[in-house]
Amino acid sequence: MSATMSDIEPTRSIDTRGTFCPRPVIDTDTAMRELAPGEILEILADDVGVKMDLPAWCRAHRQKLLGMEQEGRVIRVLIQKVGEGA
Amino acid sequence: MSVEPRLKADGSRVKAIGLISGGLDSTLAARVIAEQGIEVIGVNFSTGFCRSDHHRMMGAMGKEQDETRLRNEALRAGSDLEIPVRVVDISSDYMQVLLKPKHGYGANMNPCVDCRAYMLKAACALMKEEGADFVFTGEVLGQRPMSQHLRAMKVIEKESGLTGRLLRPLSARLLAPTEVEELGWVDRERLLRLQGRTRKPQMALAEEAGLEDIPTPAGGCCFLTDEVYASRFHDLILHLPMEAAPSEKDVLLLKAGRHFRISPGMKLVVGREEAENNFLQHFFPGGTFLEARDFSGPLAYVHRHPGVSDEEPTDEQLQLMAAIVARYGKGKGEEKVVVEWRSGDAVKPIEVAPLADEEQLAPYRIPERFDAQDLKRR
Repeated sequence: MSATMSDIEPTRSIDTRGTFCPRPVIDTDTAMRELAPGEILEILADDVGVKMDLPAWCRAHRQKLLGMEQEGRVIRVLIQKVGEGA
Repeated sequence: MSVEPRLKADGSRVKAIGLISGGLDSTLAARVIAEQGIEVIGVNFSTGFCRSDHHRMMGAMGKEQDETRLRNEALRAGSDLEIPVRVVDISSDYMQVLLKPKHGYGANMNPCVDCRAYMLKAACALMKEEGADFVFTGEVLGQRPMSQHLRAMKVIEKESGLTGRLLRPLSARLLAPTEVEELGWVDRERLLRLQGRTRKPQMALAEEAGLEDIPTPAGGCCFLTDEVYASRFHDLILHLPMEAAPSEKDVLLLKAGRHFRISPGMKLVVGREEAENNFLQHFFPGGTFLEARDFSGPLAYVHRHPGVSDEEPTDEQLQLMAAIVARYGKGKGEEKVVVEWRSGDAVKPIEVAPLADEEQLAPYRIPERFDAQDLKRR
């Protein structure tokens, strides 16, 4: 997954490092609302809970999780906006 | 879940806002409504007093290996049911509800009736914003002593501004029909008639629906119903000037460590485990800390209530705090222990005998019981 993830150019990036649940999810939700269909959001986080929550958020909101990778404590997630579901 | 959309007379689809905690009841309520073909948008309010958020933060700071213990259950429920769940942070306004609850507190610092009314008022606003038709909750008649009996449920409905538009799908058939049922937007026959404290019927329904991974039902996830937490909150309020609201840092700190009141404006908070030490360091960078120099042991944070006190401890208070810190470290059996006082870049060693005598310590411990009447008298 990581090989292809590095090739993806996000439309926007948010850095939630240093914050904990529910902040990373709220910030993701807000940022996704501002994207147009097809655009991609990159989320940087160090709250390990996002590894569970952002995939769950994507399923609940019917958005496309393009990938998730971790380097040290930093987790990077890419989500693509699909339709208006977010 | 693929079902025929439920339509109103004008041909538009019925749409509802559901309060979702991710626990058994709210998950089932959402399922009962979604099964009728009603479009559901979940909302999860974050008050800042959620135990699971705190456990998760501690897990992330400590050694929690099981990542499923760190998930947000409301989102998990949304994912299982494939309904969007919006997480909304109400923590800053929520303090007012907590400090002046019109309907008083429950057994501890829990203003359940006001809290419920407040959340539903916020849900009502979201209902209008989203063009939804009604709001529903996972409340079960008679399940919680303070907020889920008939009279309280009526008060909550009225105060939230949702009269006629508030549905409790799990107990609906025991309650008078709401406007949304009378209008035929919801099929009352397919709602439930649960009541009381037993969770058995809910567990059976969850199993039948294939919802297996819902956290074990407990007394909810709110810190305010916890006796120890409540006593710390109470102590905090009693030490702030009248009308002063506690600061975010004051409140955040109540969740972790052992608490000692050193003076009206000063507290000592001693970490109980590595995660709590990390918590103190993370949230109070540049603060004043105490830690034994030559023995492993806790990190302790000296807290002055922001905006209220910036007093520097006297030598006597310093000795006392150092002796408390030494007591909880590996050097507790030693005659003398050096405890370092660190404030910003300044470091000062303090040599003390660990405080061994519980009787000497007791006056400083923040009591673990309190009387809610004290707050009313204040």
